[in-house]
Amino acid sequence: MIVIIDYGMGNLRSVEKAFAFLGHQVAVSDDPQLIKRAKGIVLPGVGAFGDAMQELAQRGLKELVIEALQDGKPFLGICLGYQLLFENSQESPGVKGLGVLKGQVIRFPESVKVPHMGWNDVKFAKRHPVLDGLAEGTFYYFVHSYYVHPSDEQIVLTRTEYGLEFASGIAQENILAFQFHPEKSSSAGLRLLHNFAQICA
Amino acid sequence: MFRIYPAVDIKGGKCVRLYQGEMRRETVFSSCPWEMALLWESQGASYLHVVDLDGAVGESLANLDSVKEILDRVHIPVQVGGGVRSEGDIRKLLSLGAQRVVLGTRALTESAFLKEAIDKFGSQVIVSVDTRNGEIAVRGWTKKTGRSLKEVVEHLISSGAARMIHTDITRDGTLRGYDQSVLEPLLDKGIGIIAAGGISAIEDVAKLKALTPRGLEGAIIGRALYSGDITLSEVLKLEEE
Repeated sequence: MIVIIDYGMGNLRSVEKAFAFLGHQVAVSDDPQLIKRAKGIVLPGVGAFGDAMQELAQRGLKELVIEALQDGKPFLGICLGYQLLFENSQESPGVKGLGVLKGQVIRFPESVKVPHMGWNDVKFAKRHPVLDGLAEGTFYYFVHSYYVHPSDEQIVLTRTEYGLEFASGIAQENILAFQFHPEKSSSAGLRLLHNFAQICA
Repeated sequence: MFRIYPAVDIKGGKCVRLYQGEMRRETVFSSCPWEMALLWESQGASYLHVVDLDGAVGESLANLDSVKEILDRVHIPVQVGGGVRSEGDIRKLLSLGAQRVVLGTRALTESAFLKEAIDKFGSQVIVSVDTRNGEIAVRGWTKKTGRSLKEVVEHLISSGAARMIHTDITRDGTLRGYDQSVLEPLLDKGIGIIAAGGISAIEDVAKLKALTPRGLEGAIIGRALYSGDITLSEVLKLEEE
């Protein structure tokens, strides 16, 4: 079963329904036992970086998530759930992220309209099973004001341009994470979620 | 960028189309609005326009369960309006997963509300300005405001709105074709426009798309998709990224 971590940040139902729509077993939960037994973990999220870290800590989920990430369990971070993997964010100075990946989350420059909201194209920096069946330059749906700048260029999986070119997705071993919302990105997004479920199986 | 927004209007939990916005002149197209929403998605829609009609004529959101079902089940962004009368309503819809919240009545009758909504929510809110014979109507199109389109558009722009919706009530739901002349006061103002009302053929949409350099950003299509006068997959070819 794929478990979507329930930590009170945003509507998780659409991610759940998307997996269910694709015929995959899925649950939204904060139950440590269920999370430990999960074949794969999804960390979505909408909201502020600092609030999210606080919620994860208060619910006793922070260590659990870090453990799963380090155990090699397939992991999918979406939007804020992608940003949380890194060390810190300009959105919430002084707050430490999960820090399993090196890098910062940075505010878009003044020169562009924030949030970056809408469909935008995604270029592939490399191939990966999670991108199976997807074409270069596919459009995905974004809503965010901060972007991830990973220290290690090697982990960048996809790139997107908005005022500047940023890492819209990363892959490192079991960890996959994207800035865009696959659950709101039509058939291309569903394909990506399906590919992730295949990786979990 | 020019986008097609299939419309899903909800009245009494059902997916309906009205004639010129009259609540009594409804055609029910489905008892299950989310099925319609998924149908448009499966045909390639990249965005949906959802209206809570009971909310629009009433005091507040009225078909929240149906709206929530759509937001949970579709895999594309959705803008939702009808009965959004408070900051709480905006937050509610955004937290349920709406990508954009459509404001009408209160934003058009209370400047402070409009300004505050734009300051707080930016492009996550969009104002729908709807006219009958050039006069702006609110509260589910049942009340006139006496304000002119020209004045309201200037007000929207000075309040910081990046885009707006305009519906020509006179043509809405009639399949009489889109009357481009109604757009004149809105063009070349530096505000993005999503147009609606009476679109009934691909040619209507093609003409709107030709106005992209003058501010057109999209078209909302309702009855013509339900009646089959326009095939979604065909009209989507006009979308460009």
